[in-house]
Amino acid sequence: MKSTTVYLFIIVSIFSFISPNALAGSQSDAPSQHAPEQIIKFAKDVEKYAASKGARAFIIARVGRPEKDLPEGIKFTHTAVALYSNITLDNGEIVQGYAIHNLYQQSGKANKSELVVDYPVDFFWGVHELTAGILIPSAEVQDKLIDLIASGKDKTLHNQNYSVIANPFNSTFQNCTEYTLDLLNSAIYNTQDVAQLKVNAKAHFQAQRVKTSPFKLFFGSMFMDDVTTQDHNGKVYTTTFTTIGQYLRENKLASEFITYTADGDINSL
Amino acid sequence: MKRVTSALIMILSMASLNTQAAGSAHHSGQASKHTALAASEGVASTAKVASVALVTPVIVAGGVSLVAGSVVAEAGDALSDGLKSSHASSHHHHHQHTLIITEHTITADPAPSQVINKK
Repeated sequence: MKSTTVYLFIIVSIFSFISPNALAGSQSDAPSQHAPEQIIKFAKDVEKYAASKGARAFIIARVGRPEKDLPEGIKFTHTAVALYSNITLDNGEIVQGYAIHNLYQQSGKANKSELVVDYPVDFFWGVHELTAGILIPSAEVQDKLIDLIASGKDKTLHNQNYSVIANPFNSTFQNCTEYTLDLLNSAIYNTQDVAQLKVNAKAHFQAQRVKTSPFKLFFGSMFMDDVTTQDHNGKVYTTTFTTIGQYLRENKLASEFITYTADGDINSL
Repeated sequence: MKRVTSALIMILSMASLNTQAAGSAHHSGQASKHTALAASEGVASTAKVASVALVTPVIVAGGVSLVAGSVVAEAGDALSDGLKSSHASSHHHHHQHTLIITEHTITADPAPSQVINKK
């Protein structure tokens, strides 16, 4: 009877982990939870807000799942870099808008990632809440970030081995927010030396402690391809949009760090 | 006890299936997105859905706007429109003026497998 109880406890733990409420990943394929017109308008509003601030490069984040379902301290589920770009359409017309440079999990291989450029309506397509995280770096950091991505050197920082709770202080695994942090630090320190970037991150970046049930982490690392604690020693820390914003702000390298809602409400972070 | 073990095995199978299903949902999700966007064109009067042939970051260097990977002559022409509203301050890096944003709804194309399978 006692062992039956243990089994049932394990089953409940696994169920609670494999439910969609567990941890957030970086998927590009989530089904829409809002009317297309709402998403189109919101995506365009976010673009226009960033453009009104003269942002040529900014960090963008989305809320893929309800905050109550995420570990404490984590609000945004995916983060990427948006660059003001000349976009040549299929008909040859050249227009201006933001192209978003993402690290997404590969389709069908949750423990592997790929670099994908998409656009605001793609980015916000499957979100739970029409709220954007917007972090506009200082003009100098923007310049360096644009140079990094335009040169193609950003790709040298990509690690295909994906973990949703990747440790930002080593290069064993990487997730979307760690890639964003690596891009920023590469731009700031003008290097693509990953070992050096990790040393710098350890010295200056304060990661987010992932406060979730040890059972969830244990069973998650056993049964979910995109969850592993192999790269952690003890407590689990990972990169988030919020901790990246705090990092830039503490270093006086952030000019705007806010949430922007579908109602146009702007809240400082 | 055996039943509990069976249940555990079944759930573990479901867990792995769940992971795979989430992956394969990529294409169906993309397909429905493009269908929905196409359908919404008639609703949003000014916004047209457009696919992309080429995208290049806008670089502002030494007061001259450049398109990464393009020759300067092309870049100058293309960007003189894009940065029209910030032209007055384009002689330094730190302009805070509004940038022009297209009213088109730009979207990434569907996955290659979907494009090929449609043909």
